[in-house]
Amino acid sequence: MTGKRRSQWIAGLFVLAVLTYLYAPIIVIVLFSFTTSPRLSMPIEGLTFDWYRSALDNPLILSALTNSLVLALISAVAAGIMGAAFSFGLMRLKRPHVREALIGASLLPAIVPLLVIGISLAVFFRVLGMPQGLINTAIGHLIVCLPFVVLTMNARLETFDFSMLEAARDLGATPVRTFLDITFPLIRPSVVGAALLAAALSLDEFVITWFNIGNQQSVPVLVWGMMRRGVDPSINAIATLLLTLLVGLVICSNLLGRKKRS
Amino acid sequence: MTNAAVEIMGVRKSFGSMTALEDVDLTVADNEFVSLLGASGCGKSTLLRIVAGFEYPTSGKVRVYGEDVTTRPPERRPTNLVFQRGALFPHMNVYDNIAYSLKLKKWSKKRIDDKVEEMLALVRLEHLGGRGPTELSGGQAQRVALARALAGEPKVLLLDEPMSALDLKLRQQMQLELRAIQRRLEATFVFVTHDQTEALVMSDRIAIMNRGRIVQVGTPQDIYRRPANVFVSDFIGQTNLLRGTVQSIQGGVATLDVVGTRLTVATVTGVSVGARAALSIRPEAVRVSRQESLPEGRGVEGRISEIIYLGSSIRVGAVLADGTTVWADLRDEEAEGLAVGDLVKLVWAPAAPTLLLGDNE
Repeated sequence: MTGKRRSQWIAGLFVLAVLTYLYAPIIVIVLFSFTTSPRLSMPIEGLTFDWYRSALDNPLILSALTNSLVLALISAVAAGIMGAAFSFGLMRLKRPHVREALIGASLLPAIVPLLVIGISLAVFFRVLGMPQGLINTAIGHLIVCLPFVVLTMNARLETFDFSMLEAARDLGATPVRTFLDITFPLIRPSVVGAALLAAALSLDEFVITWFNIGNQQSVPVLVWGMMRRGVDPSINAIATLLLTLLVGLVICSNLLGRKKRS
Repeated sequence: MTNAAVEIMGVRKSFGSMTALEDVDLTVADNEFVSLLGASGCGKSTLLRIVAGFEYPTSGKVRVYGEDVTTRPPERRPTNLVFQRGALFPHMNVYDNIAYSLKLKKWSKKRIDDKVEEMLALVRLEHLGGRGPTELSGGQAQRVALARALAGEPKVLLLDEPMSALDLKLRQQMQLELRAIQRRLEATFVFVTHDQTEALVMSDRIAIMNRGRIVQVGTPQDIYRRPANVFVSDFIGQTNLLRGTVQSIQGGVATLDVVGTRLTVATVTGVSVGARAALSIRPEAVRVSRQESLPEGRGVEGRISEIIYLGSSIRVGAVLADGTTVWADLRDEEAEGLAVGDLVKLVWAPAAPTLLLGDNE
């Protein structure tokens, strides 16, 4: 009996250790974004919102935040629409092996190292004579996001009953009417969920952004620059803001996905 | 033909190199219940989808009440289809599902209300208008699908194996209901199924399909009693096929040599002396006799190999000299005293067998 209890204790401790290992860095960052001490040191002397204030007062940080949000919005909308259209088209293909091959091809960029994509894009845009900036970066983000959008859309469309679309046509709806009345309302949660995921991926994308954004800043690029000059506690504040945003997006994305399945 | 509801004329359909339908002709009369019956892959669903407008024939024509609809999209055809798995719209409740086609037709609110109520009453789901499709049982969902398809008052209702997902009891009940609804509405129904019992129970006429062709069209009785070929006799119900060579044809009677026994049967067109042919006899038409003499031309000798209790009858199998098993369905008292290994005579009435020209020996 005691032996059993002891082994349960050990198992519990192990789980706790793993969870600590996973979350400690994040917790530390969140914690220090609220502490008065400008240096990362223990014990905590007092709590403050000063770092958030100074972060949001800094024009560099504000413009980086704006850029990041613009990139996230473009990624969400563009990847959502393109991914949904692509997946929907795939599902209508009659030959299963062609569909499999196309899904595989569309997922490949997710395996290609970001460094390779980042550099190739930079070279490619230079050849085209496009100056580095937000547009190039947005195109890069789309490449990163699309495979994930296609993947989630595919998983959710697997259960989509296409005979519903035929039923609507049969009952007198034109193809446009069918899309508005049936297709769109039914896939909307999945598309929005996938778009939120795209936004989350775009928000913390660093490698491709760094190679293509030029002299502009996104939040990850800015933070990286600030880190090189020593640890500024407002970085903790920015990181915490970003974290909150990302967690929120991923949770919303998952909730929307779940609702569709039930 | 003035009262033809659906005319399918020389319809062919190929998907790439695969031919799904070969030169199909079929006319469905007004108010008629016609089943397309066949095994999976025989082309029956493709044919129905061509009538509904989801597929266009490679060649041939489809007319509905005289109008050529061959190239019309489904939304502009006077037909409605009940799908195999219902295909109800999950984001609309039962009422909105049924009202969908009526809203598209821009009916007034009052008229839609009345029609939906009428349809719900027809399928006996009066109180379920507010339910969502996920809250319905399989049988209820198929009833709603039927109500939705009928609400728009189609000239022809098409049904694509709508009961295949239901359990046997429910299916039997719905067969009778569907038949009653069809009679009450005096509507034309074209029903696709792979279930021969379903087709026999409901249909005015059955079109049996095999490998993209209609192999026989007729009333259930016609098809059961006078199958046109070996495929049909084998597909519909159980049958005994006694294969042999035609010895003579005289006065409308053909004589066949089957395992050394001469059997007689009413001849059919296309039979010639020396041809290979088969005699089809239903198990319920075969009697088992222990008498010494074999009645002239309508009996064979065999040894009982199996006795199977089926509840309402007893099925006795006897092996002939060439190894063919002939089955006889007997009543309890007829099977009394029979045992495996007995040498018996299998006999039948003169009108019982049908002569078939073998097409798949």
